[in-house]
Amino acid sequence: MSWLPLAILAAPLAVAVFLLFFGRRLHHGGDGFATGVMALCFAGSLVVAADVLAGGAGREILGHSVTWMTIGGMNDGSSGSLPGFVLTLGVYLDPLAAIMLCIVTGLALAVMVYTRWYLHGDNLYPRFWWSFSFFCFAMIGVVISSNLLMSFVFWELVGLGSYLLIGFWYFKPAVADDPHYQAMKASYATGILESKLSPADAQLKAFVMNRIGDAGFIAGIALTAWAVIAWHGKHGTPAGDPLAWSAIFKAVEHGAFNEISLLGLSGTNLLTLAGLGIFCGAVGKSAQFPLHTWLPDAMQGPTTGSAIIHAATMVAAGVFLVARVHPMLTPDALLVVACIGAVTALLAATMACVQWDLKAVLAYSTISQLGFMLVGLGSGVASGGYNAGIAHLFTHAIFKCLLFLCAAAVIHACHGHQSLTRVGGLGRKMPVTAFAMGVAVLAILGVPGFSAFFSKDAILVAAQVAGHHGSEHYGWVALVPAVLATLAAALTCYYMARLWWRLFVAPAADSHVVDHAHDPWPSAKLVLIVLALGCLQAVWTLQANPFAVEGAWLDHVIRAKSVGLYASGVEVDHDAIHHAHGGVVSLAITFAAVGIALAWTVFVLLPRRGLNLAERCRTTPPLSWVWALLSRLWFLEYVYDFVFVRILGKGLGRTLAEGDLGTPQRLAALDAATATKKTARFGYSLDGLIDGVAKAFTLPGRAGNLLHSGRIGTYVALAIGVVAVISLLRL
Amino acid sequence: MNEILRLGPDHLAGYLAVAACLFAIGVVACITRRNAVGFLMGVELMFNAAGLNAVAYARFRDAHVAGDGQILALFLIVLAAAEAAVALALVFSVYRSFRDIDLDQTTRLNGTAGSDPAPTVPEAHA
Amino acid sequence: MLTTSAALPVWFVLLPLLGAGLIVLAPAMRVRVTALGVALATALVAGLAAVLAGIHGGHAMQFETNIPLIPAWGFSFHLGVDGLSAAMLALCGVIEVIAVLSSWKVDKRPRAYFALLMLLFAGTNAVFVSLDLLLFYVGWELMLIPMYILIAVWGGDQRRYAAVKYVLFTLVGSLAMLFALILLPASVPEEGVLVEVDPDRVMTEAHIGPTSLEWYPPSAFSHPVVGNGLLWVKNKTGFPSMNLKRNDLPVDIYGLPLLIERNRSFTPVQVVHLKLEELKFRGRKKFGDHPPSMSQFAGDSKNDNLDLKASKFFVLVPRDLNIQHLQLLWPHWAKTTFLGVSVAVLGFWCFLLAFAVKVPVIGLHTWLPHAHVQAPTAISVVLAALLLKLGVYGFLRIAWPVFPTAALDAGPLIAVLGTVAILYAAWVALMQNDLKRLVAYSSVSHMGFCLLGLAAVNVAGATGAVVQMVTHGLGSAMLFLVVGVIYERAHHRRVDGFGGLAKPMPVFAGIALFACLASAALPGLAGFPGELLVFLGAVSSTAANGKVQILGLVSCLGVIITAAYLLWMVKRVFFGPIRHPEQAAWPDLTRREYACLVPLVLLTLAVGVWPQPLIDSITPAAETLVRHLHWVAATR
Repeated sequence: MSWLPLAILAAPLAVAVFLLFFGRRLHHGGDGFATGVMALCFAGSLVVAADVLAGGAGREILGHSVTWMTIGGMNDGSSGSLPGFVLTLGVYLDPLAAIMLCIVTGLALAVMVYTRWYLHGDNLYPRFWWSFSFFCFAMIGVVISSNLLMSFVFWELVGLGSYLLIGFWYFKPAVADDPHYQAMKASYATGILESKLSPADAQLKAFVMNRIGDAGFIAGIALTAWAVIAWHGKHGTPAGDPLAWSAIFKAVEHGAFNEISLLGLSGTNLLTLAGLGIFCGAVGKSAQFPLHTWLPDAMQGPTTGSAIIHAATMVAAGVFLVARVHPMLTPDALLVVACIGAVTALLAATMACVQWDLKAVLAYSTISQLGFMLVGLGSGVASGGYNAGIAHLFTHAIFKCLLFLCAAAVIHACHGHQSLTRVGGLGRKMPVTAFAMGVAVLAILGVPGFSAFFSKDAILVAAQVAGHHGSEHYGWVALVPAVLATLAAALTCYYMARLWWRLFVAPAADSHVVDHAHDPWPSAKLVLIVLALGCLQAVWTLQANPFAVEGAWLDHVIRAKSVGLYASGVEVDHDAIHHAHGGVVSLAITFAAVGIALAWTVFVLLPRRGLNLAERCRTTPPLSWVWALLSRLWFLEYVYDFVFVRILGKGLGRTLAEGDLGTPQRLAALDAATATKKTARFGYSLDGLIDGVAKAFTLPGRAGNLLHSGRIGTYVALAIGVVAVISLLRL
Repeated sequence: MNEILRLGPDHLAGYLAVAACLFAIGVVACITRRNAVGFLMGVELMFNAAGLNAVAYARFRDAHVAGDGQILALFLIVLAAAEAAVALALVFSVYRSFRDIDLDQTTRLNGTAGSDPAPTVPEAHA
Repeated sequence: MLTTSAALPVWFVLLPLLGAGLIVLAPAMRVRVTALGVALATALVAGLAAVLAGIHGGHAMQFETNIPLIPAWGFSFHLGVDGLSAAMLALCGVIEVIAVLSSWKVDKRPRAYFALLMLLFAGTNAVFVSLDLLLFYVGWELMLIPMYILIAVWGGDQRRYAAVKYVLFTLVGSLAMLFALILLPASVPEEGVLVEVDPDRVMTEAHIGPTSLEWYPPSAFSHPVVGNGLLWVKNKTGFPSMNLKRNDLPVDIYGLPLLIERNRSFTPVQVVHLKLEELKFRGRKKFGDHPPSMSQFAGDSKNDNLDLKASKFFVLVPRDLNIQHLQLLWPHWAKTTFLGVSVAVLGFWCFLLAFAVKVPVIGLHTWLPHAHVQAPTAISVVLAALLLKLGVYGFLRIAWPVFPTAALDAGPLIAVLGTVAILYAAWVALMQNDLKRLVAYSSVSHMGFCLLGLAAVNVAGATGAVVQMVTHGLGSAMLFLVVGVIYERAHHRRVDGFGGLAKPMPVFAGIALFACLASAALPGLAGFPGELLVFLGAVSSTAANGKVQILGLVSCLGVIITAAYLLWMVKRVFFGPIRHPEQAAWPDLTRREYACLVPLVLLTLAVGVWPQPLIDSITPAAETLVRHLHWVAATR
């Protein structure tokens, strides 16, 4: 069965290539074909996972690997020479990858089934299938990759898949240019959709912001490769693939980074730098602060595409990568990871509270939950954070996908309207959707019995434990992740509850749009039900008692693997976890209850009594200031646009361009200038300087020209003068 | 005074000075005169100055061949006349082309850019 | 017939020349077909040579042709193909065919156009295969005038300015190269110079085993021992050490004084000069095909123990223009001076100037935007894909090997220039409104990676630089063809004059996106291996005390801006609503445009997914260069 992972990888690519060329001729764009292949992939991944997981905890499978590039080197051990090495592409499966593979293929299958209903009738329908299949191919590649470089390769391909899907309706103008939309929106509607981005803009923004993270990722890869290769060179061993997971961890463990130095950094500091470089990529891909602004704009793509990409898998790839390189992250790096995750979680949660666009709420919720995962991973193995982060990765994938699919159902039912200002009261008309979404909301709230109760609380516990441990060394900074994450959890309860109450219970502001709302097709309904089942806690823990601290099946599977340097021999600190568990659980339940009640009060109860509390808060200071700040996304978009796009991008570019080749006026006047004596002055530029140098060489010629006046008298004078000079000189 | 400055009919310097003045006048006349005939007058002056020089040297220095300075002066007179004839013929030809004998107008050989149209790269004809 | 001694490079150079003649004589209806035929034949020759050279691999020169032309100058018609040239040959073959195909529509004086194009190809091809410095220079100059005429007659509306600028810029560099070309042989005494060669290289390339000495005739060595044999000093144990001073050797071989340059202390006993002809004449055993064994030179039994690894090897390098000979003379350049300046430094900077104009290096690059914008599409393709590579090729073939001391000293500067090129050109490209100028600056930016890879002085970096040369050739050719397609329909190139072209031309939009992603180094496409290897090489480089490493890390930012300007251009031109209604009626790609673009697309995919053949052919050359530089750094 060792070919099975490769088959799972290759099948979506084959489907994508086939549908790219022949999709249009197939019935319905080949959707059945694509879905069928994905079903087979899912089945295959279940088989693979069973194989991996059945082999006992901690089983790793190193599958086929092919040498991609062989780079020469000097194996003579002389100073400064590096040995040759290879770069491979291979399969590596451990429980983490196996479960992730199942989730990716399973959710892809679910989304594909759902999309047959959702995009039915769209004339770009065939394009979705090959774009989506290509994306799945890339994501599977990230999951099963056996080395850091292969992760990067498929990482970028995932970015391409996302680019294609965000820009699905590439011809659509920005909403600012759409008069119909402008006429229909509510007066206070501000937020992501009010930005000037069309799908084409959004896809560009996503790709470039991901590239910012990738620049750091490449730097981290290069540093790591250097360390490993140099270590091998010093010890005379063949370098092999320096970026394979085992090679990296072994080299790090044996002090590879201690033997090199850069910019005065060496040892742990350099390792931290490399780890943070790799983490940069995760910041970009997982939309963490400060590279989070592309994700809400990515909602310009089809909602089902967003369900898998910007909820469940692609953005999870960043977290997956951090989990993979976890052994090489030093405590310093882990603290940075946790802090950034916590800041992001809180930031996004605050912004989600005031969003009126259905998809925007979910987008910010995704960013926030990814921050949670990074808090978990950043808390380290000892506090149980590693397991918690990974668990939340899995549970979040399911319930977030479900949330997005329900949102898609709502949008479809309301003929494309997706704003909470207009739709509402759909509970009666779309019971299945309401039920499924309710389950998902309960999950994300962390209500006992649902999946995130298990994972999110484990993260909060881990953050607390890690904070206590770390405060000896790092002071108050170590407590930041725990505090911010707890606050974010509280806000999460509020805004998710708000979403559900407003969508399904509170009456619609514009009843016309919800008149014909109904549940989706039976196949789509089935998808919703199945995913709702995945939101139950028991599925992940295989325990009847939701309050049990340990013994969860998922924990057991992920935990027992011993992971390299910083976690090798590091055991989970059960006592501390037990200690913190009770407090966190009660806090979480309180948050959930308060959140549900508060949202119900503000958005259902009081409006029935005629009191629109939300409107009052929006308009009266000081809460109106808070609302303005949050609905303008903490002004980050403006700052980024001003600093990075206008000044650092276009401004600097224009300055350099005009300094290089000159202003457009100069360029337009160039050929005329060669014909006449006078050079037009249009500012200074490098090209102008060179032209000036060239013209300076004509000066002696021009000086000589003065002698050629054509007048005989001048020539006579010249002759006499020369003779006089010669005679004088001779004397 | 004549003894001190050694100018005067008994010394060479005076005749050389006169010849130099004449030559200078001729040069200035060549350089500055616009009229072609005036130019030629300057040329004549220069010739005669040279002849005067020759005669003066013949008078005051021992000659290699007796009377060589005077013979040179006679040669110069004849040459000047011949040159004047040729030059005047040229002036006639110039007049026929330019309709003018103002030397400031006959400057077609001026080398500074702008008086000629710029050379063009040949267009490839279809 | 296709042995390693086949004269494939000769055909590679001569075919375009003959083609030019054929085109001049061809009937008017058949001009284009003749040109295409010649280009295909050249491509076939190039492909064969590249594949065979790549397969044979190794460090040796394949298909070597050496015909002395002017022995007094040391000038010979010396061509050869090694891994580096093989990569360039393959690229030339492809690009030349594509260029002819994309020139099909030229209707102004096509005969002259195609004849000049063939001359251009001849010059380019000559540069890539020549192993003689003067031949290199002749090829270099041969490219100049046809390019000038092609731009000046068939170009855009500022063509005269652009053509003159291009010619003058290149000529300044060429003059410097001419000066160095004359300086180098003039600095070598007539009897030649005795230089030490890297024992590792001799041992690996000369196939001398550590315990047995088998003497092979000189032609087996990839570095030249032309006619003068290999002089080495045997090293033995158990004998007292001696200081060898100048002219102070125990044995004076056949009256030839040895010119040992430095005092070296080692333990020789006997100096053996295997001067092949003399030995023959002196009636020793005839050599024929049997390599002699060492024992016939052994005087006594003590000579049976040879320790070759500790020996020193010297070669008497004659005075000529052979590039490989000049490489061996590197210690000599460092010692000779011309007007007070070391010849090594002077020569290096002269060649650097010549090649820096072509690369182009920032500061000397302003001819490029003008030349690219004004040139017709096919000429832009040739300029970007081939001519820019000549500069880096010159670095690799001449400047670095022949002047390694000066090259190592100039390493940080080259790295800075490379990083600046990557970032500066990308930023400038961001704000260009003319499509062709944008792509021209992207070319400058990508060549910066080659410079950075060279400055890293390790095999990964050097390999990456050459891979980047090849893949950038493919990528920029595609981009310029894409721009050409647009220009043919719109007759202008302003980016803000388009919008939403993906609707009427979906296939073209897909190919344009593909080309931009390839240029932006998306993994799986051709642009990625080169950039990856350059990054890996730069960050792991030990040159210049870590400066190159820092520059490598800084240049990682380049990927951001590259993606930004390329994809922003794609968005403005292809996505969004259609801004000019008349553009909605434009036809998608014609068959000819398909024929130009599809091969490049397939090649880009192939090289991106499976770059190993390319890397395999380049690695030996890169390893040789880097080993040379390391040895120089160790022994200077």
